[in-house]
Amino acid sequence: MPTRTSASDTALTELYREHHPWLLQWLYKKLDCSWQSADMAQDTFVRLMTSSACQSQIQQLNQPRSFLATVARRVLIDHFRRKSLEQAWLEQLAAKPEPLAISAEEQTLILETLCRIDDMLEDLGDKVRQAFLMSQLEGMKYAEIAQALDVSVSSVKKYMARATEHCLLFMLEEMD
Amino acid sequence: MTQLSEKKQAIREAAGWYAVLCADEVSDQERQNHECWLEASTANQQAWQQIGRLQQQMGGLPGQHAHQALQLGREYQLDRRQVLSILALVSGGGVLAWSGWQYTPLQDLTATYRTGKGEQLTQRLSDGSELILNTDTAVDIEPVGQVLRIRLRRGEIQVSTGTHADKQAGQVASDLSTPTLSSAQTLSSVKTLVVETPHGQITPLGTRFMVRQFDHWTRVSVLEHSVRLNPVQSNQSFKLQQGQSAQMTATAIEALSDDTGINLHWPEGMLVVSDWRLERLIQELGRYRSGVLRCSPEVAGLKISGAYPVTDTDRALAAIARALPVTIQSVTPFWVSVHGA
Repeated sequence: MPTRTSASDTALTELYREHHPWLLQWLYKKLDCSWQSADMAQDTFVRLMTSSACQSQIQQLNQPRSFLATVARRVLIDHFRRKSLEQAWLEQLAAKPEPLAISAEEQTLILETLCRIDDMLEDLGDKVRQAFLMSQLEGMKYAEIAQALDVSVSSVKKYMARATEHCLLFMLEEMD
Repeated sequence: MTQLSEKKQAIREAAGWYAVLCADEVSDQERQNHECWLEASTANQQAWQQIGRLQQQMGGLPGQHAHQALQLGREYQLDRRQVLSILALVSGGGVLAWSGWQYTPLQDLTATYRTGKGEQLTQRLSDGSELILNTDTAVDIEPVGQVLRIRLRRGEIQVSTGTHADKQAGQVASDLSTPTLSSAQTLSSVKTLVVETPHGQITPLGTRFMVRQFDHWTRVSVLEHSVRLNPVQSNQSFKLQQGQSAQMTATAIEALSDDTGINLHWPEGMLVVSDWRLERLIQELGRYRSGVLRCSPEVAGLKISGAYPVTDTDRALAAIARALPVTIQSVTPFWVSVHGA
């Protein structure tokens, strides 16, 4: 967790006091559901508290509501991502003919990694994304990928380079 | 060159090299060139180390399943972002008239369909809908005027209404050859379907959904489209959307914020759980077998995930014993307990 200054704490308290009701309403309009809006509003403020990038911005906000909405939108998207991937992952498990027991640690790790990879590959085109996952997760050869995606082998190589670069840039941004 | 753009340039080159080295065939010349590139600068080495970290993350996943989960997860995300409306108060509906509902074991004898422990049953109804009964379940089917009433006496069912059941089975019932809405209404065989439990009424709005009856409430999960819920002692009705679950008591409805505690895969014969307490998993497995299945308190709180066949609870228990520090003790086949190892 980043170290927080008392100035950013004060700014956060102020933000909460003045705009929490507005954020609740904003979320309620999106979700049409009061219990979930409350959860998401809470998560939005938790993210503000724990993200160092947000910390520095909080102290000099011109448009606090649009800032809050941006962070809340991100929280919503991550929430949908997690729920969707968990559902998809469980369906994969359901399709297995053999019983499979997974410990809590393994499951958490798998879901977190799935979320992360999904986040990393978010903006890539479908074929680029597919090619990368086929190669890296399934161990498919370029020739097999080319056939599956109906493209040339040299395109597969280009897709691989593009996806890898995209992931590395994502990691770079995260480190900063 | 600034430091950042130098990093970015190294990343671009590293990605290019990675694409080359992952190819089906790599020449010695290419390997040598890569070595030279790597030695050329620390920025290059750092970028290449980052690829190592990326590989490590991807390598921790069970390959094919992970890829499919990512692919499918993407589709679900698009659905979820579109269907942001989750539980909407629809309208006041008027208190429903109910005949007194008192449970006696004798009522089972009049049930049209029943399953014993560990059994499942799939039934096509007269309106073309598909009804699946889970373990230890009893339902009455009663045509009442234009309404086909499914009374859930106990247990759990999945209903796929006419058009859905047809689409899923890839066939169309001959007497219901997908009529348009107007012609459908003139067909005397076309009925509205409702599911009733002691707690309320569930009306599908063209859909696939699950209903499970508990002692004090009924749980409803919508798999496709939506359903309307009417608690028996309330004049309000609620619309529940795809992907949502709710608990209905006789007087109220509570949306379930977290539906991961619900097994939606029993129609495929599987119990799929994510981060459940062991106690709960054992209790759920117990629904599918005769006799006593108990979990001792010292291991009750262990968390577990996985997929278990409900048709073979012995194998499910064996899988649990492999994943967790527990032993399965069978006193008799009808008295099994799970202990700390």
